[in-house]
Amino acid sequence: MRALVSTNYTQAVDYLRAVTAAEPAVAKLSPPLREARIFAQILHQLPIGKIQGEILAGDYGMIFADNDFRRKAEKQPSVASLPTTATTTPDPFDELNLNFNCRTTIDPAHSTACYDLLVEQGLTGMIAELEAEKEQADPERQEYLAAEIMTLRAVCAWSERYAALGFDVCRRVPAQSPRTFQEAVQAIWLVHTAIGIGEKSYYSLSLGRIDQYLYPFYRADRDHGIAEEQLAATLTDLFLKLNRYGDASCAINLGGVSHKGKDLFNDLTRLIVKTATQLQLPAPLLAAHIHPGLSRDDFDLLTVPELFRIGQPSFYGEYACRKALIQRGVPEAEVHRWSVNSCMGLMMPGEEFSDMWGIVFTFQLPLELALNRGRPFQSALPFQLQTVCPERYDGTAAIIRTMLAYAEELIVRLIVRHRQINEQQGRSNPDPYLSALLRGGTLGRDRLLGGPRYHTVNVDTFALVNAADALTAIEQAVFRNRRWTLSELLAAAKNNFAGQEILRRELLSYPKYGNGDPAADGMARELAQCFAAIIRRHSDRDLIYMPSFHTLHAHVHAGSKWGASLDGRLAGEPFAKNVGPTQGRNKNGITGVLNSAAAIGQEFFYGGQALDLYIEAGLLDNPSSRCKLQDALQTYFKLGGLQVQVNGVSIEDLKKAMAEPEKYADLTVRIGGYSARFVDLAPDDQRQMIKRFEHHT
Amino acid sequence: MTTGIVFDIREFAVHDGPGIRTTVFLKGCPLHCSWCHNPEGQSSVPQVISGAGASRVAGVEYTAQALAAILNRQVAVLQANEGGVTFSGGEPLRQANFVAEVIDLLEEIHILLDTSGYGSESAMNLLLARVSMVFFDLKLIDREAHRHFTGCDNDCILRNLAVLGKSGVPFVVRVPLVPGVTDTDANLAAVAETVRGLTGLLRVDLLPYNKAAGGKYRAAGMEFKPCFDEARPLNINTGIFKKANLEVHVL
Repeated sequence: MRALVSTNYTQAVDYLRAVTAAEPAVAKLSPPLREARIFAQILHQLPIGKIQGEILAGDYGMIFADNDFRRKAEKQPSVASLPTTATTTPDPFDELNLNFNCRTTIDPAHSTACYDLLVEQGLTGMIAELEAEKEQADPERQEYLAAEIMTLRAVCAWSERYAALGFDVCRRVPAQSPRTFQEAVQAIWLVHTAIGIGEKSYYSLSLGRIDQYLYPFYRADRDHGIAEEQLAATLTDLFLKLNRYGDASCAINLGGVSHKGKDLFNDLTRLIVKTATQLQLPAPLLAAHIHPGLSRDDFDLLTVPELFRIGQPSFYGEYACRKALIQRGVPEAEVHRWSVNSCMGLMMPGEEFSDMWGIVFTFQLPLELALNRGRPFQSALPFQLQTVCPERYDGTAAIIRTMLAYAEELIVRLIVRHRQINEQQGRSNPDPYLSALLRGGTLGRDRLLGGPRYHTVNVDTFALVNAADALTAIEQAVFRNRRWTLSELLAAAKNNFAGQEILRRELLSYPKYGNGDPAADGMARELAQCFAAIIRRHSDRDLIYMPSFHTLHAHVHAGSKWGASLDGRLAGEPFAKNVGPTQGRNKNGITGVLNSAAAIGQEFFYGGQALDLYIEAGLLDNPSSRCKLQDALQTYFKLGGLQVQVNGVSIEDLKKAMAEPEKYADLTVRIGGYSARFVDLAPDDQRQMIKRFEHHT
Repeated sequence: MTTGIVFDIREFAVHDGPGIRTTVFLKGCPLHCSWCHNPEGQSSVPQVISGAGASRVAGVEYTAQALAAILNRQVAVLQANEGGVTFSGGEPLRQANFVAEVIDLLEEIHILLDTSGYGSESAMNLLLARVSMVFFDLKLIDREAHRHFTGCDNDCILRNLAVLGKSGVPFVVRVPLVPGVTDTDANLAAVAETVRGLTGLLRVDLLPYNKAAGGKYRAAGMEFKPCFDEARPLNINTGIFKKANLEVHVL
């Protein structure tokens, strides 16, 4: 398949970067001019070519290199894609990350450029704007603007190289504004893929509201009699390229609501969905904006087994997400333009640098500090903290107060550190190209130093749900029922509950987040709201730190670093994933999960978070059941949930459930006329069912 | 304080009535249908279910207040989708007082009773006064065949069906299609004849038998002894119902 063609582009880019950076004339330049020169040189010399059958220009990499280039590139040692940020050793923050999964970094890429401006003005128009700004800027910004202009011109020149290969469309775009759908897609692809080169990272570069800013071109072409199949072929080409370069986390938004309340799901949106359904490829990520006005027919397009099998699409509550964005400071009059950034971030496209993993914080740490007289259960903190820990507690309220004090002290340290490395990175590792494509702040400033209108930094919070469940258990076992002392619980947890299975079972028996239980959900909400308030206190307009439950799949790795916890979790077991419950803690099905997740008050966790729902894939075969799933999603969003990722039950899940039944107590399968818990079935029957799934999928 | 035994609460039960529903399975059933898919619902006392490696107790005693509190927590999700709560089993009529008390404590929500109809007329009336819809499982019309395959005659079932028909509560008749037992043309014609003309009948649902029932028996420590030929092809004859001007669905 064409998408699977490997062009080995990173080796070619890295080689050119290394040789250009080593040139004495380049090395002595100021960082913005140096980076611009390197960027331009890479595009000038990058081996380019045409893959058979491709309509769009923009393929590059070692497969197009001549022998001389190949020989030289292969001799070149590979270079790290991103310069390290550490300036001192040993660094206590490294230790904090290693032992406690609390860290800070500058996470590049993750951005959506101002593609609406690009298709309106072309790069030439954008360059003219920068030239005009340069006339009146101070010397520092003049230099930066010169670097930005150099990068945009480099992309125009790169396009000319493709024109010379026979791609006539590249004589016009992206330099000039496009006139047709194909020209517009071509312009976007060249500008988009070059961001990975400028950022030295291809991760999670997204295309924003593509079905909106490309719709006028689609409509005009269709009105001029161009067949839908021809436009679909262009779209197919774009999607194949997205799978060939970068990672799979390029989000494309689908639909939405205009500022006047009009449903924006249009014919191009439908074509995008149909094309992605047909291709069955990981990229792009389809981010569907769901709102009450979305028609049943369009919702049906989004809820088909073919998409669910590949984990697509992700569903976003249009109005819940707007509410969250308004909380973080986006003006109400503009919020309808919001977009999904990569796998779950909410952002304002073309105006925002999203530092998606800027801070990672694991709530297990402040809980242990509060319970254990200021010391983690295992390992020692790399620095002294000021918070005073009481010798004893007479209730969970005091534990929560102490825990939050520790959390705030740790968060402040991480934020201070983040601000330092952000400044340092902005100065030493600027990216004038991406900065030229993110607008709304100060023209001529780097994307980390005030160039874009918004600079957001996610505080990805792990194990908050586990901490809440632990506190609910402590409340009941220690303070209400007085069955155990706090010291006994601590001793058991530190020893991974060895010989204390009865105690652990009791901890597991107390209410858990994920079942719509008011006590457990109330505890999670209290912690979440207090923690969000802490983060807000240390945020400002220059750097917006955003609370988030985003864990992706890293909850497994994070859990592996930690010993047992007082929610009954054993050492090394995963923490809760995203805003969902810890695996196996939901008892009866998804209604409780939806209720719990909505009860958190997600609008204050405006960094965004997914809720993972696992359903039997066969549910979608029946129109009535499909409607019910759609209704459940609408309800969750109405209650304030931001994002849902629906997972059809897979063969892999069934096999894992056979191997570890305790972890899959809630896995439900439908057997003809009835549903059963998979783990209740005898092994032979389970094997039968797996065979059946294998047969059907 | 009334208490009841529940063997399962399943959320997002999409096949148990309109909208998004939570289904409460009441433990204990007077019938012992040879094809029963919920064998853990037959006994009225808690029992251990042993699956592949994991065991759990099926059967928890709830007070009406406790069960209503659990269900009321979900009202926001259930109400928004015109869904609600389904009481199934086992046989809910057997715990009618408990079910009635739970319903009285629930917030405004759609209630569906999924019953075999086997119970007293007073139990049926007690619940019909409180529910929005009924799924009525009708298996065999022949009295002796009913006794042979379910362990009980169907006198009170047919009586309760008539009570339901006069109550004004909308209902669906559900017929499990068991090969050679309930799927015969004679039985299906008798079912059609029995239900035709009943006020409130929305449609007839035919539920084809599934061979996987045996697994749940083994997990519940019970022996699965179907007194019919599982391998025999099913006779899914919807024509009989259509001919009687009845809407029929095959699930």
